[in-house]
Amino acid sequence: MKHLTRFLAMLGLALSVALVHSWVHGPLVVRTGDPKAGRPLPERPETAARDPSGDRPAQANDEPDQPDATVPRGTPGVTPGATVPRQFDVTTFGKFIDFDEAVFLHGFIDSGLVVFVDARSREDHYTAGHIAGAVRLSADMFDAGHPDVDMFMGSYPDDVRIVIYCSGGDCDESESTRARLMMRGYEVSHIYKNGWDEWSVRVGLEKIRVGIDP
Amino acid sequence: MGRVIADILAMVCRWVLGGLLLFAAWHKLQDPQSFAESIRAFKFLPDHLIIVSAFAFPWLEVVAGVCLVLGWWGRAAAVLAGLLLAGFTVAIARVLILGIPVGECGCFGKLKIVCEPAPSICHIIRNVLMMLMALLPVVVGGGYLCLDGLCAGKRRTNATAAYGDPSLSTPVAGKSS
Repeated sequence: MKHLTRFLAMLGLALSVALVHSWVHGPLVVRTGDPKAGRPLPERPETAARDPSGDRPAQANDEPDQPDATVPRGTPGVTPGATVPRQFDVTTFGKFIDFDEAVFLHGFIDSGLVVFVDARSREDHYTAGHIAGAVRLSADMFDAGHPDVDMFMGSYPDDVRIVIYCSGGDCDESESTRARLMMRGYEVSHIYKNGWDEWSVRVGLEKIRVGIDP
Repeated sequence: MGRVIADILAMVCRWVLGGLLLFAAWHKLQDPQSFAESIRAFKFLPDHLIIVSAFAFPWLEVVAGVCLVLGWWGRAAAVLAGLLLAGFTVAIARVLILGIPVGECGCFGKLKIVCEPAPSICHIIRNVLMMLMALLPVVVGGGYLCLDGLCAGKRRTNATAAYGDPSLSTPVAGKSS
């Protein structure tokens, strides 16, 4: 009887603290229903991608297609004269994607099938430079009810494919933003794990036609 | 001699299990939203219980973990920890049996402890081992260096002073919780 009383007291204590915590933390958003599969991507982007300056479309026909490549010429990630490193099948993309996969998906930004989300919490990092076309949505913005969150939800259907990135490394910010997006129904998302640290360097080194917005 | 070994083992089990629970709780409390997402992926709880669980489970782990580490109400804490682990194990087993795709178990937040993030038989084995660790304090008591033992020792001292016979008192210090 003594141990049962103690057990119930511990349950009560934990649930009381959890109640206070939930009140302090604010509401969580839980999406009901089955997970979505996401819209399939066409084999090629419908529109030419941005170049780093952001004001000129990439040249689509300056070199012939690579015969064994899924990624077309003019697609971000395809440097003129370079060999496409591998085939891409978006259905096999996991939670974490690498640079090449991120570049591939970046080619679909203008079609609206893919959106890049900058999850870095500091706005000055975003303004200092970000992947072209990326929308800034940090976890803090969700928690604070930032109007950009509502704007995002109003602008993109919940089956849009989202690529989330932050600075790089383990990058908890991407995970946090992804969790919040998923709770709002955006369940088709990938984390570009190496994030801005890699993108900002490799895009410059490999002269890839993907943008860095100033 | 056997009693000494059992007490040492119980103490180690308390500390290891309590530490793991606190570690797991800390990572879950960092981001309840992510943990709620993990719970939802299991499709084990109805939707209206997900938010409650996202806050309740980590705090249950905190309470059980603190009590286990301190050895305060050790048996009740070990039972609580065992029940939590049993629940998690059933949920993982259900996911594996039904083939429900779950990206991360959320057991230790985003960290990978021994097992890969996705639920697997490894998680079940790990949880069973942790349940065995919880079983020992339940059976033999908290062992050495526990607050329950201090209280028991104090009671025994009082009883000895009152009756002059230690056998009239409660169990040996450190064994009662």
